[in-house]
Amino acid sequence: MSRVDRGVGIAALLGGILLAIAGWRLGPGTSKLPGPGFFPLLIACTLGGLGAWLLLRPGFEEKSVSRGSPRWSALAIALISIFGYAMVLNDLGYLLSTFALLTVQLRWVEKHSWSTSLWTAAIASTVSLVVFRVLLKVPLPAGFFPLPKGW
Amino acid sequence: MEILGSLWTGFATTLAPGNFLVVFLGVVIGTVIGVLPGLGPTASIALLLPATVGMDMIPSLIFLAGIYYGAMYGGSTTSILVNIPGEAASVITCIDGYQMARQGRAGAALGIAAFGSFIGGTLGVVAVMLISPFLAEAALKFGAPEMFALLFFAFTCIGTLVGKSVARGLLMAALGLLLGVVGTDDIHGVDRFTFGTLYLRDGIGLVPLAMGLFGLGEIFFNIEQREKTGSVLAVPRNLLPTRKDWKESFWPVLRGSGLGFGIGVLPGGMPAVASLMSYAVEKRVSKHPERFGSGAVEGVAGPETANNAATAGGFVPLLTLGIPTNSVLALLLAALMLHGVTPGPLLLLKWPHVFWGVIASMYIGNIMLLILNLPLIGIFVQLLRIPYAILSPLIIMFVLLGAYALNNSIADVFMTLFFGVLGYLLRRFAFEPAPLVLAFVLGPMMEVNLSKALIMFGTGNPLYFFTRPISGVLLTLALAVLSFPLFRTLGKSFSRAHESSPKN
Repeated sequence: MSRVDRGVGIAALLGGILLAIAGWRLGPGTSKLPGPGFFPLLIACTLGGLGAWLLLRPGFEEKSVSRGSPRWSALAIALISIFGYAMVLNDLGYLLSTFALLTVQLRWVEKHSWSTSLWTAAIASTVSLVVFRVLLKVPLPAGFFPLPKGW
Repeated sequence: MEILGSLWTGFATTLAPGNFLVVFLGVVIGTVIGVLPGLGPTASIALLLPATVGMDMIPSLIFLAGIYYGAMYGGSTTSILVNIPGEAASVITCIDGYQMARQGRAGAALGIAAFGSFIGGTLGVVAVMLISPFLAEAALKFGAPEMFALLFFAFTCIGTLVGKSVARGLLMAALGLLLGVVGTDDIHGVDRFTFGTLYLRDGIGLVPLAMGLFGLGEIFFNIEQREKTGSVLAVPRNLLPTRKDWKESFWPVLRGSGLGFGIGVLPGGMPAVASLMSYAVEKRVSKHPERFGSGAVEGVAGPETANNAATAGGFVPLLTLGIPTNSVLALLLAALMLHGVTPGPLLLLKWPHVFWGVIASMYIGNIMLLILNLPLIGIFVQLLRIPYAILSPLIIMFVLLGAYALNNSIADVFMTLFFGVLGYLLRRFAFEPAPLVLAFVLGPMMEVNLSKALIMFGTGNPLYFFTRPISGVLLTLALAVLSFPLFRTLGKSFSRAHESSPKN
């Protein structure tokens, strides 16, 4: 059994138990008149059963999907920048927050030069704003950055 | 005769200038998506779904369908010229397609892939057109028990057919069912697993889920594990296969069409599964299996035909039963529902123009793809020269933009990010996300039909489902699908034990 399968199996078993408790609290009803907890209870049994299967079955050798040395810092920067983007999108507006997101992604995740990062970010954020906000009328947040009239 | 008349109406709808342009745009965008690694059809359709809300129903559908089968065409180009599949269904084409290209036969490989795709796609559409009306009529006789049994059968197929491990596939499907119950219960009006938030009362949206799992998940994985892309091989001028290529490809193309369509109709029968199985069949029936892996044209013709036939085949259960067989079709189901159309047996009766419009657009789209792909292959290949390090931030931007634009909601952006992280983890640890998405879509339908069946027929006995012929057969089939891997595992354990036991 692989370590991943063991971890996932335990998580599925525990998840199944928690879901069963939640389903029971919602009210399972009867088999003639199922309640809102009936289906979650069935899913809980399925999850628990599959968790047990993963834990008990003979070794499943999965091929590693790893293709080289992991770039953890790049991934962390990508995740944090997207989270930050979602936090400030409404306040900063689409143009500024997208420009900042793209700059971070291009400069620190993809390791482009400052000039490539800034130019690409500026062009991509402006073009996407024009296409989506001006042409397709998607109400993207304007923020405090002064946009031309009609945008 | 009636079918021909309806098809004529469909052609009249699709050939209207606006719709014709939409088919063209759909197949071109689809081809580009297929060519570019890292942005598959599921994420792309999820991304463009919000943009189609403002469109009329038929143009939006034929646009999204065009993207889907366009991507199937485009995927082979990168497999053959760069040894990187544009999307999952073209993985197998890398094996012989790239070898053919290295031997200076890229033209023949690209040509046979395009012609095979055209033949498979067209034969598939003919089969969809002939089978669907009969299946829809039969499905009208389905009550809640039959629908539940059908959905349960679909659930077991999805869990067992997709991916390499049945246990992992079923676990993903169970997780999809769980995510599907989040929100206000349709029957009792009770909030379930909403954690007191207003946002979750409407349930988790399919678009943030699909965009996160397939769009962001893939990007995160590529950020963490950056792979050096190979050099793009030159595109030859002559893309027409030789007479010998045609002779060797004739039967693989025919077998690929039949096999691909058959697999596409099955729940979980994704085009990627069809292309893999076609490759296995071709290798097995070939008189020279040793040539496979070193540039056999049959290894390109069969799988490329099969994945396009499977793409067409998937439209049968979607349009006649309302059951999507893969994640792209799940999004098309969402697109239909956004426009107030409920796919299923009544689609042909209530909205025949939608059904026949989509069918006609598929004929036209396949012809367009053949005409466009061969002469324009050089242009599409230029796209491969755009560095992935520039593309990936732009894809992230479009995914987040698409997530926000759906409901103008930041919560959808957070939800997409959440599923992006989940998608990354699934990809990292070799879990297939497709069963999750499919079960997420099928789960609520399963629950409603199960509850209806139990309440309406009030027997309280689960064996009641076996007393009705259709549901009985479907549930027996589902149990057979479920028990097959169990018996296989037991058989393996038994033979292993037998081999390791000391001989007397």
